[in-house]
Amino acid sequence: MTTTVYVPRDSSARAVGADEVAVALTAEAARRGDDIAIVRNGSRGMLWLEPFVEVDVNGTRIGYGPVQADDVAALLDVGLLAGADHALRHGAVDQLPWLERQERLTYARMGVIDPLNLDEYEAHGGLTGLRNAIGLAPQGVVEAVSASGLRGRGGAGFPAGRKWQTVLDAPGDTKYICCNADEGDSGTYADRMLMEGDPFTLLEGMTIAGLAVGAKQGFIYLRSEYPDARDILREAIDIARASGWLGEDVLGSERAFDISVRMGAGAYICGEETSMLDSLEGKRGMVRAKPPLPALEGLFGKPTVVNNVLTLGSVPFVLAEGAASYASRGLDRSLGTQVFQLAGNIKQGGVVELAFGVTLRELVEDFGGGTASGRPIRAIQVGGPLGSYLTADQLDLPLEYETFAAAGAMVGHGGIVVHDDTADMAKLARFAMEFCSEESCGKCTPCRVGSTRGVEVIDKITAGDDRPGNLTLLLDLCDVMTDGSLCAMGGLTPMPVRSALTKFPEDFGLTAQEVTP
Amino acid sequence: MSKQDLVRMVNQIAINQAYLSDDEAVDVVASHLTMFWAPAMLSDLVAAVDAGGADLNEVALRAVRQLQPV
Amino acid sequence: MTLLHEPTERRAVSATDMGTPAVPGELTVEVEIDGVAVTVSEGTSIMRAAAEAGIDVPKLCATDSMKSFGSCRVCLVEIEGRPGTPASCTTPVAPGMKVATTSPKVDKLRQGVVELYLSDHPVDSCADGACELHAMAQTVGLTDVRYGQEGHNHLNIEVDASNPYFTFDPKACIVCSRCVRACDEIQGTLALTVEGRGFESLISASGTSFMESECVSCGACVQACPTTALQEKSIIELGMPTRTVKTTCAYCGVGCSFDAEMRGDELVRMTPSKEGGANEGHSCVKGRFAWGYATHRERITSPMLREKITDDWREVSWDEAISFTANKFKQLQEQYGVDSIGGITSSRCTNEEVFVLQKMVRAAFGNNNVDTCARVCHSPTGYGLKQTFGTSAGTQDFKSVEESDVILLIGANPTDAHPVFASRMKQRLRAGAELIVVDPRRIDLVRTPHVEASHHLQLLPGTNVAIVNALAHVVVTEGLVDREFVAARCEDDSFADWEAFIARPENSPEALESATGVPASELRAAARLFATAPNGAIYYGLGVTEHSQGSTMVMGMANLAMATGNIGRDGVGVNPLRGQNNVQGSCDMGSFPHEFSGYRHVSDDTVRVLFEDVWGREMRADPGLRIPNMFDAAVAGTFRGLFVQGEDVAQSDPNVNHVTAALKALDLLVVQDLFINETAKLAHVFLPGTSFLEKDGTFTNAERRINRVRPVMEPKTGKDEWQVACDISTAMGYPMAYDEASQIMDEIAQVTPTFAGVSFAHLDEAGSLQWPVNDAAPQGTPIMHVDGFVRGKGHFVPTPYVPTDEKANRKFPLLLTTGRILSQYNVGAQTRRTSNVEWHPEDLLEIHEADAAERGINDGDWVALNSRVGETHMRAFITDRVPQGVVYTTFHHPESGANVVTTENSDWATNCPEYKVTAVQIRPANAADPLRVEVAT
Repeated sequence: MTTTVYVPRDSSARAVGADEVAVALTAEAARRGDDIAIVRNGSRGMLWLEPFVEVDVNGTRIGYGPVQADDVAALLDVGLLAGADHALRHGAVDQLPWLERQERLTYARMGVIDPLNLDEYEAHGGLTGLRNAIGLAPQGVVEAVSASGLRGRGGAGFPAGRKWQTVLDAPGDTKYICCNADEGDSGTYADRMLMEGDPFTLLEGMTIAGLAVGAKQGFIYLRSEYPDARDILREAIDIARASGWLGEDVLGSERAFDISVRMGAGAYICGEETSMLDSLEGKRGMVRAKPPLPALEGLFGKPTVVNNVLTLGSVPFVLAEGAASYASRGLDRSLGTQVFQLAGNIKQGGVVELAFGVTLRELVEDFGGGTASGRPIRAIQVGGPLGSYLTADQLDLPLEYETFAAAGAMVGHGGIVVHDDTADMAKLARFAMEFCSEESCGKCTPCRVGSTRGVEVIDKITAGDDRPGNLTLLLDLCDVMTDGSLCAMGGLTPMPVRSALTKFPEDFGLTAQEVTP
Repeated sequence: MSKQDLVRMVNQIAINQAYLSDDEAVDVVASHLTMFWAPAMLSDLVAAVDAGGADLNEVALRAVRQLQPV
Repeated sequence: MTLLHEPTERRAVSATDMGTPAVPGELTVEVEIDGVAVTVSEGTSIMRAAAEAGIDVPKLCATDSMKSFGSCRVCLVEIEGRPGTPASCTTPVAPGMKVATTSPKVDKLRQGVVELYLSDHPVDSCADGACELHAMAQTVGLTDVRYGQEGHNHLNIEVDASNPYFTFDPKACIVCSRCVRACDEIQGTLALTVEGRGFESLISASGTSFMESECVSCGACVQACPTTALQEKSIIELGMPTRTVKTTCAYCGVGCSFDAEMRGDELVRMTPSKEGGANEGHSCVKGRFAWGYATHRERITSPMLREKITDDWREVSWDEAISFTANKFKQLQEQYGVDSIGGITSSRCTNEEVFVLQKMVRAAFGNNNVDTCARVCHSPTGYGLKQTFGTSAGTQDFKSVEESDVILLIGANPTDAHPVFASRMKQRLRAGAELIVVDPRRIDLVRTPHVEASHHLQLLPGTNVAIVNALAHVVVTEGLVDREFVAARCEDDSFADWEAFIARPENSPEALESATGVPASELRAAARLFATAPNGAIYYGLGVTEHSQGSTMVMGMANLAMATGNIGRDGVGVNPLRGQNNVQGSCDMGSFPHEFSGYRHVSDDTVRVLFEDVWGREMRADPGLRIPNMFDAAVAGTFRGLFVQGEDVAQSDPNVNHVTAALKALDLLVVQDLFINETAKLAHVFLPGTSFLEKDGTFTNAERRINRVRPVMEPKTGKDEWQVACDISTAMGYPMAYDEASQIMDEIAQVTPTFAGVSFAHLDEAGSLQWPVNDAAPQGTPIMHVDGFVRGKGHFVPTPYVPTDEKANRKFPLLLTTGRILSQYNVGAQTRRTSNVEWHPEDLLEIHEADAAERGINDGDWVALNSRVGETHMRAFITDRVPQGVVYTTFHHPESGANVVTTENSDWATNCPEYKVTAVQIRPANAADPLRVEVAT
């Protein structure tokens, strides 16, 4: 009898030796005459356990991790294939509290299936949403997405249904679906994991979007640092085409939709939707002024849906299980689930999909297990490099768009980066400006020149050079960047700076009074 | 003016009227010469034809003959 | 610290800049800006609406000649009921919107932005107020730059001075992208980009120096630059201008309007005028920069005489030169007859100068021996369009191309020869119009950034008529004729005759394929594309006219346009791209030996009577000699004296050896020019001419637009050029006198119905006028034949294809064709005396690799180019732009002597030379140039 062994192909697992583990398993099993089949699945998202090997024992998947190639022989010796006990054994995977407590809707198949096995995909509920969508009029699909309350997961949180409606209503025969897969925020990796671990979900979401708004072509604008995702996506697209899902006649609907993958060129700013469109058009990625909205004049000037990977990846669930089911989760105007990513100085980093409303404390302490260093938490940055710094006092904030906005912070793409009490917040504020100066597209003055001056002014403050004068200048600069920048890049950079300054003035050599306006 | 140039030019005018019947073409060529050629050129051409040996095509020759009373 | 410099003056451009382009449309929106109600068209930016309301919102990256960009962030405003501070340049108005263009918040933001700019900007870069940024600091009330300048900056980057006319100083650059956008949106070359990102963003000429880049030096970027980053070297050397004079470029037939910007009596800059109807603010490298020839050291400003052409020149007074000339002309007429002298008018001179010169010939010489250099370029246009439409001119204005859906471009290379119109055409092509190119050579427009022709019909030189017949054959036989248009607007009989003719099998693409070398399927596709376009327009150049069937081809195109209903509205038409600034005008002014001004035949009694009444002399009813006839007659000994106004026939006319022999045979050759050109080397009298900077008058461009030419300085010769003809005429016994040039135009208007409503006063008021200007069209006629053809009904003329006698054969197996290059102009008399030579120091022979290899010729080798009439030497340039069997060159340099090899063949109807087809042979050679040797003797 063949035993199925799962070794993740996710790049986070490969980075810590998953390929070597797979090779060792194959070789060692062959040597012993054990009949095994290795499946390279996606990651379950428990990154501290990668490479996380699972063995199918009579239909129950038993997990071991982190497994190194060196461990393979010993594991087989003790009876890995029978799910035997071992120091690395964690037990039945679907009963692990860390996973069991999550609500995996977008990530339902993540780590469960072979990412490129379409039969498995369908067996686990895949394509149900698309089939339902085909049965609906375009307006019906858009209404379902609207009713689900799904908001853009890329950071801005704009209602996806409203955007789709605009594109549907826009005149013209040529429209596009553009998936923003330029996942550049520090501490975020959920897009990549979905693309590597369950690419069909993204393709299905894009296809539904295409049918909904009348687009025949979709593009995935993929971050250049994601070669594995590129290969998997391209293979998945070929499989989908071969199966009659993508192409001239989507699943017999007599409607066409196809997708191609385009690689970015390593610029953070191309994650900004209008820069991404410029880059997709083969131009230098520069932010466009809005209006016109991309929904009306997007790629090549045509009406375009621009959504993030997780947004589009959530759509199949909405169409499969119904808008009401999705909308029943969450809090206030933040409905459904968010795929949170735990990173930084954290003990148990990984992906946690939960309904909006979960508190930072639950995520960081319960799931994350606190800091990796074991030292107290000093600051947490949520929503990428342009997010505010929160203090340990703010751990009970529920993750929800409006609550975070009211606290001067943002949920963003759901990345959570933890710092312990050794963090120098002046350095981190400086880094925010430096990041902006390196990644700015260079179009608008506040961002292009302001970020460079920001670094210099912070240096002057920390060096004790005319602290009051330079503090005033820094705050003025933050105003110019916030109110004067063309896009969120320059506009949000002052958020980490201001929050560091007001919450941790001592790191700048300033007092609380000095930084209070 | 050189006989050779004049003959070449009038022949060329005639050839370009080939879509017309010969009678029509003769009229068009004659009219063109009157409209656009200086009298001295016309008289040199007529003289060349009179002197013989000018290699004019049929239409050109008839057109030049038509001019002669001028 | 203070990093501010007190600017003395804002750039003139910004004074009237509305910030963003006008938005056409009938729907209007009413908004309130700073309490002022204003109504603008839907989609207008807040910035422009404010400007309409008389409110100048501060701006640096916005300018009304380009789309809004939104980068500088000094134009931020507040809108009631909306969050944030949107940029007024990129935010469109909405009904009822209330906008505050100033508030404590936006005022402080603007200061903050300008403060950032000035932290990386030289303090001393704003001499004479050339820098808008320094002016902006004043506007927003910034007094102090708290960042200092010791931070990271660009203040040590070197200046790029590689372009001869302007410098790029990155220190002063504020990365507003106005230059990049100008290169894209106005010029369409896309030579500029921004390299790097963030603070390291720098304007770059495609990663190299401006001179080595794709930059065509049109100067749009320099004009667009708000600081001194891109600046004319002339401004750096001479300082900012203090006054401007509106005038017209003296190069090609586009006729761009310019502000000649003066500092005292010195010209420091030419800036294309936004109000210019032909160019709307754009220019090319010649018009904007190549005006230095006007004051070149080789310019002759005093009259000169000599008895024999082997004598040295003798500088003389005007009086002596004029009386010598007049006496000699009279003496020749006494000795050899009234018809023994004549004159040639110049397409580079003003209408007034041309009119007076042809009047001198007709009234003072008493004959019709006047011709013009248009003889050798567009005379077939005059003939062909007169026959078919009834008037000898193009049908459209340039703006019309913005409405075209399919453009059929035949024998023209606009990006080199008519660059400003080419930019307009390119913008239209980029916006979706399709292009069909008919040319033996792969011109740039066949494939250039963002533009690609749908079809390139790469025909063999000399087969134009076969192509146009085949196109029309497809239209007729595939049921693509616009029957409604033809029935309503054209003659039934001539259409029926033409239809029967063109439908003959001999005119099918398949039958003509072997002659033209163009695959029948491709030709059919092109014909269908053109015929089915809502608006199909034909543009053409000398590649149409300079053939043995030039006139036939012009009529063939007119037939095609009529048959497809493409006449009489925007976006269509038959449009000659005129070579020289005043080709149209010189023809209009009665320069042809058979026509008075306004294209009226000399045999027309009524017209003659009119002129006789006004001029008081009897007019001749028979046509005079045309230029080639004059040369033939000179060689034959019956033509003895010639006045040549501003034309270098010894370089520009075909079969130079024959021309030279003719000129040497003359008893009196009078040349009026700026320089001792090749013709003047054979002259007895040299009369110094005036440059366009000294002229007062008008030029008429290819769209029949009469533009004013205004003097920016006194004639360097001490005499207006028209005065010289008047003086000679008077000295010959026919008194001719005007107080000023405007009186000449008044006389033109008096005797020319199409000019009846033209006067300097009317032109000054209207800016420019497109003839006909008369009671029926007091403000001129942008589009002709709108309700009916000038001749009544459109006339179809059958156009049989007659192959040229000039055929490739065993002795001369290659066909030579010629053209023009961007930086140079015709015989180069002007452009060779400017820094434009840096782009094109010599004429090269373009040859296909296979033809070169067969002859053992390598790229850059000297080759001898032989035809049956002559030989010249030049260097080879191996390229796939020309097909095998065809070679190509330009004729800008006298040394290359391209016209030594061109022959006496000419258009059957007009004698326009067949420049575009010469059978030649090529062999490797030494550098020594036989022509140069001959001319020197």
